[in-house]
Amino acid sequence: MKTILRLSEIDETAKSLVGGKAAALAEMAAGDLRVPRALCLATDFFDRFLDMTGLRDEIFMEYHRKRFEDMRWEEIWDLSLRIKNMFLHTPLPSELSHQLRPRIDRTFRNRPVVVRSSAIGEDSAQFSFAGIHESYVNVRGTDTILKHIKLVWASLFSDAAILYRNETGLDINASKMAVIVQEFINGQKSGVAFSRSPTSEAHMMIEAVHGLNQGLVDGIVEPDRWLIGRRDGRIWSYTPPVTRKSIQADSEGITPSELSQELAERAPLTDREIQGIYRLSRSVERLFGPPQDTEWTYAKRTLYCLQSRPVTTAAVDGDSQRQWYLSLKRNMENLMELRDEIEGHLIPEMQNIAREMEALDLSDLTCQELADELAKRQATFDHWRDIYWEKFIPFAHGVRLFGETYNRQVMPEDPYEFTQLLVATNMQSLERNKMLAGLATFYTTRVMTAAKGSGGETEATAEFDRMLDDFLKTFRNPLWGLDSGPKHRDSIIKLLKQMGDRQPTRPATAHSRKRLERRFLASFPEAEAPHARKLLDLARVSYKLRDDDNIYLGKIEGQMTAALDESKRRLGNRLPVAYQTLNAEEAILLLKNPRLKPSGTAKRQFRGKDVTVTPRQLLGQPAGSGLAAGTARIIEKPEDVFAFTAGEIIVCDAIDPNMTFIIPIAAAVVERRGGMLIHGAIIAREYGLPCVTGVPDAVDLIKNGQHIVVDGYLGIVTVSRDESEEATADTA
Amino acid sequence: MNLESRLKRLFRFQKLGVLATQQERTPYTSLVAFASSDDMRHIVFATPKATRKFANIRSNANVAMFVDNRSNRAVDFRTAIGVTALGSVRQIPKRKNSSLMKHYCTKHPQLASFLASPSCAFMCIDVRSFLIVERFQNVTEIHLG
Repeated sequence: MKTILRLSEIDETAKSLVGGKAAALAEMAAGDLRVPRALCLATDFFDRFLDMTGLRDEIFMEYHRKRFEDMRWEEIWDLSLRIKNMFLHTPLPSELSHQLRPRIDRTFRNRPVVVRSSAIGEDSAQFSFAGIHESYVNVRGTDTILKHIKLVWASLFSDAAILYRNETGLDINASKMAVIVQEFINGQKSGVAFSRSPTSEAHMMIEAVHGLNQGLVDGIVEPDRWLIGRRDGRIWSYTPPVTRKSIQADSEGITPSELSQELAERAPLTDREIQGIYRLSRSVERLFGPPQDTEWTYAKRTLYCLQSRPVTTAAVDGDSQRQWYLSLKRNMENLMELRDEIEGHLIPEMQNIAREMEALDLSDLTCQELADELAKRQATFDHWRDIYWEKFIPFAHGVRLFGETYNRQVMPEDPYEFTQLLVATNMQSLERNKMLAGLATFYTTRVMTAAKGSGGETEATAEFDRMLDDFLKTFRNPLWGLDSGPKHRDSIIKLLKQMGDRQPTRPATAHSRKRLERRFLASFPEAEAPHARKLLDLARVSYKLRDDDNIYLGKIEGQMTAALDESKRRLGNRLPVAYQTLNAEEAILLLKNPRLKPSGTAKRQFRGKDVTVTPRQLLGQPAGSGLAAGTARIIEKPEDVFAFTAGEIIVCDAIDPNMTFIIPIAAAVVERRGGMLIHGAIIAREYGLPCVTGVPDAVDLIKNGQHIVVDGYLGIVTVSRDESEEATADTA
Repeated sequence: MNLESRLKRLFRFQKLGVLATQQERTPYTSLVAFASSDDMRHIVFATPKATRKFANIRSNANVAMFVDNRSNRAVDFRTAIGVTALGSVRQIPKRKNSSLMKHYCTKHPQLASFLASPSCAFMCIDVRSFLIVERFQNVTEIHLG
């Protein structure tokens, strides 16, 4: 059977191999409805591509590198990014290319096209993948079309698609993707028609926008909306949007565009056009039977049907799940709004709150007042942690948006090359580390030398104290021990001695960053360069905030911890066992009830006494290239940071941005939490350290003092039984 | 499923394992039908006494046994599990009501007459540790006290 088909060639036998979207287009074309000219690549073509190139096995290996249930959403995005890069770097075998190229040339010549997904089961009544897979609009030229066909195939493995399939129980390994290459209709007004309104059985609904309908489908352009009687076509209600925006075709692709004042004030459709869409929608429903969700566009006076699918009957639950996964994708406009909110309001507010709390002397409070203050601080922290999830984490998608664009445009071998363009953007933690490095140099060259008898000890110490005070004022956070008390001062001095003994590795040069930036910008047509610059700028802010936001939140958490510490001090000998594990709720109860006794907590045993489980090789994700051997230092609590010795390997659950000041003197980083854009990975790459993230149970399985080898190229951590094994660890 | 469960499942379902023995620095491997105790501390197999592996064991009781579930397809790189059991082996009496004998005969009923032969020895590996390789490069060791 043919694997490249015109719509007229899609018969009953072919329907199961072209996906629901292509089958529907074929049926509409056969039913004399006006649909754009199209070619369809059946799933057999996709299968042959995967099998002839060996990509199927590569994807399978990548997909199963880690158990799905152990992966965080960031890791799933990473997985998706790596698979997408595999597709981009795998050329179409010549046999397939010789079949496809002439068909595209003949059918479309040099006219622009839309490359759409048509996955099997994609648009059924049970599942709606609308928006989950990718479509590319206004693509021109055979080479570019071939590249976008591969991108559509790759979207079968987008993070949203992976998560949605997992949630709905669909087997990703059995998933297949057909692709439609469809003539691009540059419509002046477009939209969606539901032949039965989702909210009322007696009505149908038309949504319309000026320009193309991608903005409407993606939810960034609010449509004009009409509710129309299903039987008689009478308009029952009309709802205009708050503001009218538009998406228009660019020289390549599409772009948000300002509407003229005249259009911005005018509904996109005339009554006559509404009746045209009503008739189209009714015809489509008659053709298929069940109510339809039909995308249409008017090019001049001609009405085209772009695609149609059954209105999903999967209950609201299914759709809300899909919506949540779709929310993982953020568009630039939405991110720009978030940026304004975060930079203009949220961060200043967080700083003010932390400053206000810091100004209060906790030792002046009665126990009752302290309990109230602790409750208030806990509630404040909880509130800001929620905001962190709602606003700051979504804003991190600016990095993802840039990464995906960079890889699509530049097609680098390393799918994380784009991060080099984002580093060194004056992150708070880098500033702090720089100040600490200055303190370390001063302490080891001036204070210690003076103490050995070269003179001026008093002056040097006074100067050092002044510098240390400045530092603590800027980066005060009791959570990680950076407090001004004598105990912490000693700890900081111990750390400074370590830092003074060892110069940290410096990050990527500005030169290579400039080169990559030029390469990225040159990959766009000149007219789109400003948009590309804007995206890069947004990604840099997003990348910087990914680190800084935790520092701001850390300051609030630090004030909560300060109140908790004061509570523990007051509660004193009432806390013989559970002192370290006391949480705010328990402390509040104890402060308010002097006669209440705390309960102790038992530590969970991992296994029986005579059985020990030890790791030999732990598989994670390569997050910073390089190979390093050294002693493991488990960091679980603040004190551990100050026990750290230069040259050790940090092993932790998750690098907290508040503790990244030890990274410059570490040999490598191993982290349980996975992902390429997490703090540990960001900072380790910044300093050029080998880093492996996403190692399940890293903190439980690796012990303090064990010799380990961190392979940041392959993402493997090898635990040596003795040092002599280190040399051969990479060949184990 | 946790590691211990995965390990037990593998040893329950796989019928054959590769036994590694040695004689004066010369390694030797043989495919053997095995069964294991519920607590995984013992692995039993049967061998004719005239074999090279039996001679090797008599000379050096330290052995390794490799058990895996590969299917000779690309998926093995991610889904196969390979386990090396390290320990020392000894010959044990063939008592019909012993639990190890029952385990062996339940798993390999077709080998009952083979095992019953006077020329066949019933062997037991006392396992000291397991080295478990999963997902291509993930290696964990379990040491039994």
